[in-house]
Amino acid sequence: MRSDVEEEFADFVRARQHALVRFGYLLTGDRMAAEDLTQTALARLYLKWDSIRQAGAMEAWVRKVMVNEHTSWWRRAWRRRETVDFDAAHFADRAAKPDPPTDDDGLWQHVLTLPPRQRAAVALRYYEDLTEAQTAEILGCSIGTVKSQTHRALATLRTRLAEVPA
Amino acid sequence: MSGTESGPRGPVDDLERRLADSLHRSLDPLTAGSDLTAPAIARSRRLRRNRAVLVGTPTVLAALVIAAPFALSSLREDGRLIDPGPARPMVTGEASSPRPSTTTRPSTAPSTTPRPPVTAAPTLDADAPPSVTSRPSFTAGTGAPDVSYVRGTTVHDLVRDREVSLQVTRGSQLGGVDGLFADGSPLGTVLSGGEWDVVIWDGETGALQTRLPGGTILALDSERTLAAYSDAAERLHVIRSDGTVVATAPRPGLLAVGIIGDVVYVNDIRSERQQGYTWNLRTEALEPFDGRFGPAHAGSGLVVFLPAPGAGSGTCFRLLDARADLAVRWTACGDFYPTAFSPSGELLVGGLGIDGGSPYDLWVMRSSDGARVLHVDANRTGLMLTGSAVDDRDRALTVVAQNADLEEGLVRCPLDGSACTVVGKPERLDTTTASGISPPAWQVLR
Repeated sequence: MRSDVEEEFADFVRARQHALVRFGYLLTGDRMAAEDLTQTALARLYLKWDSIRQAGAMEAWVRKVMVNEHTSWWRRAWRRRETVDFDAAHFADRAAKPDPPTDDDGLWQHVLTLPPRQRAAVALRYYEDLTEAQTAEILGCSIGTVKSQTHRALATLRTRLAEVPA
Repeated sequence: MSGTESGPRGPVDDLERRLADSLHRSLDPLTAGSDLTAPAIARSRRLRRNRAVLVGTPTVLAALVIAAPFALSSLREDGRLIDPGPARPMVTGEASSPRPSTTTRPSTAPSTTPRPPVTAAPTLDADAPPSVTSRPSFTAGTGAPDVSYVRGTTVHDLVRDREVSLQVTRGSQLGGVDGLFADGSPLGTVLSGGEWDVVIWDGETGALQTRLPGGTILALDSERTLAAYSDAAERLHVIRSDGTVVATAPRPGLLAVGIIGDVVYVNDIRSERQQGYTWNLRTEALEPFDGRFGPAHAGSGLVVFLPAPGAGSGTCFRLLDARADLAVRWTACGDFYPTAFSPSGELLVGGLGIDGGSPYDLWVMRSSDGARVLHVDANRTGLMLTGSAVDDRDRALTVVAQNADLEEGLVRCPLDGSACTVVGKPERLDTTTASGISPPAWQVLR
């Protein structure tokens, strides 16, 4: 029989897991990696459930963990300067084989090539429809940084779309 | 489509609209494959159990730390003790008696070495706030590096006061420089034809001396005489600065995390928990441990150990003394997870595990007492920290930082909390390479 805490946590997970997996998919470009990322973040949330629930910021906290965790994977896999890490290699391999895009203009593919923070900023602003302040809170940066990262991401997407016409 | 118009986020243009539409079209149909509650709780319990097992009740903890050599022996997977006789509980402060050497014993802990008095090994709060916080940025004042570094393909060896331009053959690109051997020879990787090769260059001329195909460097002995690398078949080798292979691991899948004397600390990536082993180069014996090893420091004889289960999850780790048969110095529980020692062994550098291992933060912890002395917080400035090194005098941490424009530079942050300075001018990374991987603009050498 589940405790009250477990029930509360389960309610939160059931209500938000699909949205979180979508966010994970936006970050990783891979369905399995998205679920792993979500599960990792939820496990950490459960560890700190009491304090974070009281603050009433569970979802923002989970998204923050997901952004950090994914950026860490990306960093290790991309630069390959650190000790080989099984998880990193595992996820890098997955990330290299994204699911086929379902849009017809290749925009999704271009989004996946953005650096992780720019991709996260784009996801939060244009998919989650968060404000710049909310995005800054999740990314742990200033509003100015959100503006500049979003601007750079859009500039990159414009350039890439111009290079390969839709 | 028309140009800019207004929306709930403010003015939006065609691209922003297309972007939002595209993201929704791609993502809205996606759902979680199953209820994530149970697996998340199970994983969470694993983390918590790890912490609980390590901390235990005060009585258990006291027994654990007073009979420290016994406690560590019990971590050996088969439960076998080095000295099969009954562990003799010791009174705090009493010197432990030396035990006879066996063939599997690390040679760094010879039987004739007197052990220091065993005192209660404390459990520390690795979540304790740091003494000071520094915020690196690329707009800070400028200074000069106080650690050896690499700019492009030029090694700046501050110990020998020389610059060496590394030979990188046509069609190859520099992957990275992992360190300098004691004779000054740089050790690194080059990327060529999609393969990462381990390379040793001449320390004076920069000429390519040794090329070991298909490998990754894993650890450099902090005395700089030996290095461990894994080949394309995940077989671990230990080499000298002239490229001579000193030893090859008895089976594949072992990754080295540290070398102290004749003992290489490895983890088995083919096992579910990445089980740790000591690999004795002299006896060739592999001894399993119930947990996973972290970085090791030859000068101080210290080794980081993450007991199973949940090893590597950033909950608890132990600092072991290889000179005292891996006795526990202390256990730290919390988010901090160390990834490297300072050259002196006095400091540990690492990040947080529990909130996702943010690449925008670094912490420095004192290895003598586990005190957190510095938090390098680059969140506000949006700098991703991709490398770090502490200077020989333990005065500052120099980080390799990268901004959202993919510019990379060096920033030095003193441990006393005084202002950080830019010691390597930010330079744009080359993102046009055929490999798709940017060669580093700056690196620091530990």
